[in-house]
Amino acid sequence: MAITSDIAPSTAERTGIGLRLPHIAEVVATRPPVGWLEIHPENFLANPHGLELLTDLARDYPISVHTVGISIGSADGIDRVHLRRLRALVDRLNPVLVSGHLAWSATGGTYLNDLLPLPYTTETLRVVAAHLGEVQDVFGRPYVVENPSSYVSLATSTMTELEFLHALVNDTGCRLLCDVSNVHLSGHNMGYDAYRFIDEFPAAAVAELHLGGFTPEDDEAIPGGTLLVDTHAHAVADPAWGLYAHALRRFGPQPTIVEWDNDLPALAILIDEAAKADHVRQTVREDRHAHAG
Amino acid sequence: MLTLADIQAGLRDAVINDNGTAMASVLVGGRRPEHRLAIHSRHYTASLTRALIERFPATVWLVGSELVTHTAASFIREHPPTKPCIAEYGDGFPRYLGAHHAAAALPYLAQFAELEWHLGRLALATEESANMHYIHLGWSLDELIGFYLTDTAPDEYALRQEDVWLELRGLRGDLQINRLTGEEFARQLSAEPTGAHS
Repeated sequence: MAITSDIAPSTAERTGIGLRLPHIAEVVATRPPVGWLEIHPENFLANPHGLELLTDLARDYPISVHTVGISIGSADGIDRVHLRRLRALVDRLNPVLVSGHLAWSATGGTYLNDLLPLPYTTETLRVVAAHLGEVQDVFGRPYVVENPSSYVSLATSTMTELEFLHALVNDTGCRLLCDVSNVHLSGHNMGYDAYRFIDEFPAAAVAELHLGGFTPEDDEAIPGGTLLVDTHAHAVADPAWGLYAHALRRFGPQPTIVEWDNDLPALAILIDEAAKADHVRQTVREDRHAHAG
Repeated sequence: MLTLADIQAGLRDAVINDNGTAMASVLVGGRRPEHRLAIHSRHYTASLTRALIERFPATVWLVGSELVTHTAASFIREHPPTKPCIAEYGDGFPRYLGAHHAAAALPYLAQFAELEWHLGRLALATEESANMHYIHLGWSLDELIGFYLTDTAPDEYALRQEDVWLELRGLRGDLQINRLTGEEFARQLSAEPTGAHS
């Protein structure tokens, strides 16, 4: 089926936040000044009361549905029962975006509750493209694919991550979610230039940006080295803010979400992080106008 | 050349068993990339342990976090999730916990945890979702769970072994536990769809 949709132009004006269940009552009560809300739908499938509150919020905020359990890269197929449950939730919320990860989480009937790395090969491209088509058919709207955070890659890869993303966009016409923090983290861990990665990212396909915190720890694979772990347990680090400004210059003022999943802070702190992203976007916009003038 | 399915099966085993040695030759990332794979193993265990601990706070209150955490770690290895909705993971944990050798002196533990499982689920219910459950216990655990829910603790409490038939109701955080007679319980059971009782 043909998938056409205007992806959320209004959300580009103000940064949104990842809405987690511990914050939902406060958001319902206070209606904080954030541009939009992004949820993990898997947290609401077993929580009818939470979904009721979210449906109420959907009247006042654009909602984005960011899936974590579709496992689009699974060799043995995707869970169609789960997909149908997500479809019902998408129908109820009518979100501005539906997105997920370039990763896999399930094999042989086991769901690993993590986003695991894929080998970048023609076989994987075929699998991911087929699943992407199925997901978009079920949802009846574009499914936006996020670049992974990486600690290891697979030696069987015949393409780089960037080559794979370009091929996926070319083959499927999909849109991409560029997680800027993932680019910084993966560049550090896997030894590539994050700025160059942004420069070579399929810019025309970008529909959304993500920012999140990471945790440095000793790299047991490299004595004396440091590894950045994608914990979403801290504020966005300075290098990621710099890369975010670069991404805005390259991609334009894309809709942005700030994520925080673990060691969740007070809602006000998360809102401050979103305000920082607004400030960076405003600064980039003013610089652009100044140079244009 | 390993297929995608081969790689995923190998990585699944490495993650669940926290041992990436067998996959080291296909991993890239530092001199010992299998050590980096341990980040995924750690996340697998930590996130699911946290999910179970948060799902059974009254059970932790009753027997302490050490026993529940220790048992959760082996449960997660032996019974990985099969579905992507982690909030639904753990329905088999009460029975597994009760069968653990450290719980041998706590014959009521499995039923207590099962009662908590259903109350936790019902606390999130609305009129449109399943908001009732019928459960038959061999111990008078409803009083004990009542102490937990009301944050009270008697100086002394003797657990009685007896048949207890309960109707559990939940709606947007409000919970009701109603005692039924055996006859009432049987009547309700015959009227309710499968899955609304245990």
